[in-house]
Formats: sequence, structure tokens, C-alpha cells
Amino acid sequence: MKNNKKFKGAIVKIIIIGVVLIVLSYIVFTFNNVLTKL
Amino acid sequence: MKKVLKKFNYKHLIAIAITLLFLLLSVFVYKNSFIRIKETGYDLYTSFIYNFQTLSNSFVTVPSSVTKISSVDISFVFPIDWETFTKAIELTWKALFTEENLFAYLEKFSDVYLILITLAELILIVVLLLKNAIDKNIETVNTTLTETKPLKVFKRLEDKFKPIKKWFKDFWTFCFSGHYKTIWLFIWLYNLNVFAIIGEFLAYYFYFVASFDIGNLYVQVYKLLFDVAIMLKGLPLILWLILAVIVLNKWRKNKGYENLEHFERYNTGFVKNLPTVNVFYGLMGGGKGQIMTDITLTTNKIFRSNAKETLQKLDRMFIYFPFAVLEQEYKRLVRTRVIYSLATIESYVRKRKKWFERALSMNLKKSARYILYGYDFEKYGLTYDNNLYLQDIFEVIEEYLKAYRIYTTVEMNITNYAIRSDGLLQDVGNFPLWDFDFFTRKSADIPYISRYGKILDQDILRMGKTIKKDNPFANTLEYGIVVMTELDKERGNQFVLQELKAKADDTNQKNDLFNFGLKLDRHPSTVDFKPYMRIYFDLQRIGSTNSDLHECGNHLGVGKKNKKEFAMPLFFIEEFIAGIFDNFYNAFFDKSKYYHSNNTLLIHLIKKYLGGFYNYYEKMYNLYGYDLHFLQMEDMLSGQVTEHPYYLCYKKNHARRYYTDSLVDYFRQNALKKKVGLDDYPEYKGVKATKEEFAMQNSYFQHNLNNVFDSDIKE
Repeated sequence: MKNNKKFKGAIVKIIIIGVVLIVLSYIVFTFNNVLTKL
Repeated sequence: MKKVLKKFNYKHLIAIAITLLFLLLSVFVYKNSFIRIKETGYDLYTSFIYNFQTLSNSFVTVPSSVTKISSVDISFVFPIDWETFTKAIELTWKALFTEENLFAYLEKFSDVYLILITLAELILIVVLLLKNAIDKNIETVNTTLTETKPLKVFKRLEDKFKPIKKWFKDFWTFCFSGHYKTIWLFIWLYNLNVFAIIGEFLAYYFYFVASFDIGNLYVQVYKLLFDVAIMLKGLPLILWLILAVIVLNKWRKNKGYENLEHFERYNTGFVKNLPTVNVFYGLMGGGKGQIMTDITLTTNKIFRSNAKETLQKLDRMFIYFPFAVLEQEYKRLVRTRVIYSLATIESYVRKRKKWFERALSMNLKKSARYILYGYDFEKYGLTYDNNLYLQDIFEVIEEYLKAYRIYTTVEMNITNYAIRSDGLLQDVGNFPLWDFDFFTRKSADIPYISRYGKILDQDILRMGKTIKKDNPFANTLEYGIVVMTELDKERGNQFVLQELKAKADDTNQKNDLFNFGLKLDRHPSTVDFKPYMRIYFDLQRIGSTNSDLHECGNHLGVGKKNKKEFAMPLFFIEEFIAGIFDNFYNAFFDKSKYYHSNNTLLIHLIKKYLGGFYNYYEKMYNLYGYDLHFLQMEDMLSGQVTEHPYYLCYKKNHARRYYTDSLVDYFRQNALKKKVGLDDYPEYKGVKATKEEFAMQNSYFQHNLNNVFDSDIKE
């Protein structure tokens, strides 16, 4: 039933999205932190 | 009054109550939106006045308020001017790579990550426990055919919830198909501050085109972010997430359809450029039948589109000619069987031209006008100059009727296997329009909108002798799409044909002039210089049929392809779930089937939800899935082979278009006459077969061996 090629692609996409979300949250946190200190 | 009350749908009351609730929320909860709308209204007014006064070189009496920030009080931390913003960016860049900041981030988000990790662990533990429980539960043998008590209770509960679920579904359809949807959308666009965002944009636009105040751009960005902040604070995070999922789902589905339509347009371009005769070849199971059928469906669309183009062109030439009257007259002539082919159209129009000329020669202008369907030829003329030659009105009528006949022919597939087509000719009594949308047809409509093609009597392709003596259909083929599968089984190569004689009394492949007809098929089908004849053959080996035949056509090799591609974006979450549970579901299926003949609640739940998910997954593939074929096209002049992509979309091609086992009926009818099947075939008793077992093979080889050894023994 599963599409092996697409399954591997899905894992890669989920990892990339996870990493992007972590990086984004870090940037937003830092920016917010700076703003509150300004 | 009672009747009116009976007719009144009580759902209106609930919908009105919901509307009132939304309005109350607008008044008591979304107060900031009201302030922002008021401010935006004033910004728009002042910007418009400013714009008008500046552009008309008048004295500016009202300065635009769009440059001022809002008075709404919310907790919003963002630099108010450009200098502070650049400073903040600079400091952020430096802080990004400091240990202190990283630890602060980790400290702040440690709870979130801890929760996420714990959640993942918990899910893992639950899954493992569940798997263990499932294994234990399933691996107990039960051969009774009854359902377990928990399952019965569950089904009873399900039955009780069904009407409630149905009610909510009906209510949803009721609200979203009427005016409530628009009213609610309007209220929530107001509540979530969307109107203010649009209004502010327009206000700045009016201000900017008159002032070119680029310096104020940052304030506008600040105001936009401020408005977005008001919007985001309007709903809890979970509702935003649900809304995002709904919007994304709708977007990806639309995008999926767009992609499928793009593929179909690409295929259409490819099929348009194919020559009249095309031979598809490739190994069994390579997809040549699928491709040929798919191309046939697209050709249907192309022919109707080409015919409509011609009709449009001719219609433009004589704009005062009553073509609608001509079309109605054509319909009457078809009903009375005066017209039933392109030849009868030509004959009829030429006859009418003679009547017209006779009436003119006798100076009967009224009669002449009547013959010309009421067209005022004296005022508007009888010819059209296309800068190449003069086109006579009767020539135009003749071509128009021929193109109209092709355009309105409901079925033009002439095939040796049934092909289902579902193009819809919509007609309200005037000019009909075709609907060839292959991707939005509903499965339930298939029995009511399908046709299965004309039976290919091959005598229509024979210019010489025919199989059926005095066949009334012989020499009647003018236009259409002829599709023949297994050509090599029908028309042999020169080795097969060498025994046949052209001068024989019986019809055979040498005297039926099949190939001769094929080479001339374009001629009777041409209307306005466009041929409306396509011939598609498929076979396994090109060399199995004679070269005079296969070299008439374009060779298209089928077999190279990328299977199971997907046209809808953002499907990876489903792909991930399908991949994760695939092994589990397969093992579950085997075990539950092997150990149980009864049904338990656990088995039912897994089938219902996980099985339901796989049904959804497969349905999505049926809708958005496709195979990307690379057709090998051989240039008949240079012998060079070029590759052409062709998108075989499942929704178009796999919707019971044809049966790959189209000849199965012969085999089934034969098998039904017998009293034995595969189960009754004798089996070998050991790895070394015995002479008696060999004898059961009825093989030429074994028979020869038997003869040789028998004769040795005799000698």
C-alpha cells in the first residue's frame, strides 16, 4: 500500500520542517528578547 | 398559517441564534476591531481628501491620518521606527551566536521540548503496549462466526450516534449552502480585523500616489503587523491551527486539480501533433493499451475543439448570415435522414445552390433569399475575401455543416474493444457545448453519462473485398477515431501472408486493400483543411505485422515510465502515516484473518480507522495519482528515436475506461463448458518426474522422446 519512494521523501520533509521550525523559533525568541531589553 | 409554520425549517432558528451569538461577540469581545475600523474609515477619508486636493493642486486642508499609528491598546512589542528596528536586527544577529542567548532559549523552551519528548515517549509506550495487547488478543484462535459482546455494544452505540452525526452534517450543508455562510464570513472578517488591514492598504495607496512618501513605509509595516497582532489575538492557537489545516487542505486540492489539468493540456499538445496513423508497441503489461485508450479520449476532445474553431472562423466571415437557422435546418434534415454523412451534406448544399442560382436567373429574389435561409445577400454579399481567395457563401455553408456534424457527433470512437467515454454535449436548443472535464466526474454518475464506442466492423476499412458480402457499412467511413488492439493478431507479416493469393475468390489480407484504404483515410475526413481521422493500433512486436501496414504510421514505444506519481502538493503527512503503519497493518490483516473467523471490537476498530485511512489514501491516489510515461517516438524518415513525456492520470484513465482483459469472454464461455479446473490437474509425485507423468504433458517434445525410445525398445 505504501509508496516507498514517497515515504522516504516524507521523512526527509518532516525532518526539514522540524529543523526550520526550531531555527525560526530561535530567531523569533532572540529578536523578542532583544526588543524587550531595548 | 399552520402550513407556513410546517414549511419553516427550524434550522433557521439555530442559524439565526448562532448569528446573534457572533454579533454579540463582535460587540462585547472584539472591541479593538471596532476601534480599528473607525480609525481606518477616518484614514481612508483623509487620504482620499489629501489625494484629491494634492492631485488637483488645491490647498491641502486635511492632512492624511494614515501616517499615524493606532490608539488601540494591546501588548505589542515591535520597534516603532526604522532606526530602532535596524538596531534591534543588529543586536539580534549578535545575540544569535551567544551562549547566553542559546541557554536562555533552551530554558524558555525546555518545557515545550520536554513536553514534546515526553509525549513522543508516551505515544511510543502506548503503541508498544497496544501492539502487545493486539498480538495477545489476536493470537487466540477463534473459529466461531459470531461477534463479540463489546463489538455488539459498540455497534449499538454507533447506531445511536449516527442520527446525531447526520444531523450535524445536514446542518453544516444547510448553513454553508445558503446565505448564512456569507453573513458569518462577513462578521468574522470584521471580528478578526481583516477589513481594517484592507482599508489601511487602500488609505496608504491613496496617500502614497499623491505624496510619494517612502519614508512613511516603515510606519505602514508597523501598522500592518499591529493589525495582524490584533487578528492573531482574536482566536486561540488551536482554532488558528484548525483553520490553517482547512485552508491548506482546500488549497492543495485546488492545486492538485490545476496540476492534473496542466498535464492534460500538455498531453493534448502532444496528441494534436500526432499523424493520422499511430502504432503503439511494447511488452505485455507495459501500458500500451492504457496509453492508446487515453490518447483516444484526448483525441475526442481535440476533434471537437478543432471543429469548433472552424465553426467560429466561418461564423465570423458572414456575421449577418443566420447560422442558428442553418443549425436548426440541419437537425431537421438529420431527423428525416436526408443527411447522415458528410457526403450527403455536400450533395444537399450543392442542390440548394442550384436552386438559388435558378431563382436568381429567374429574378425571384425573395425565393433566392428564402433558399439562403433568409440571408440578405443583396445587402451583405455572397463572397468573403480572406486575402488568399474568395470564399463563396455556399462553400462556407457546406464547410460549416460538415464541421457542425463532426462537432455534434456524440460518439466517434470506432473500436475493436469497448472504450468508455463520458464527454457531455450540453444543449439547451441552440449551439451545444462540450464538457470534457475528465477529473471532476463523479463515480455515481458513470452509468448515466457513459458511452462505449461503435463496434469496429473491419469491412469499413477494406477498400477491396469484404468479409461480409455486400456489407452495407463498407465504404462508409468518413471520419472518426479507429482503435484496434492486437493488430499483429489481425494482420500478419509477409511470412504469414505468403500462402495467400491476391486473385483468390475469398477475401484475404492480400485482396481486401486494407493498407490502401489506410493510406487514403485522411481524404474523406478533411473539413476546412483539417483531417478528422485518427487510427490507433497496438501490438507487441512491430515485425509481426507487414511493413506496408506498420510503416504507414508513427511508431510509439510504450514501457518506460515513472509509476505512482502524485499531483497534489503537501501530501507527505499522509505518506508518512501510510509508511509507518504499512507493516503493522499487513501483519494485523494476516493474523486477524488466520486466528479469527469471528469479529472482535479491536479488529473492528483497527479496520475502521486504520483501514479507513488506507481507503482514503488509495482514493487520493485514484484522484491525484498518475504514471509519467516516456513514449519512444521513432522518426520514420531518419530512424531517430525521441522521448516524449505523457501523463497517464488515474482519474481519467483508470475509471473503467476499458478492460485490460477485453477478450476474456471467449475464454470464460469455453471454460464454462468444462467440468474440471486447475484443482483437478494431476500433480508430480516427486522431484524426479516419471515417464507416465511426462506422457501427461501432451507435449511434442515428450511425444518425440516417447517415439524414439519406444522404437529403440522394439528394435
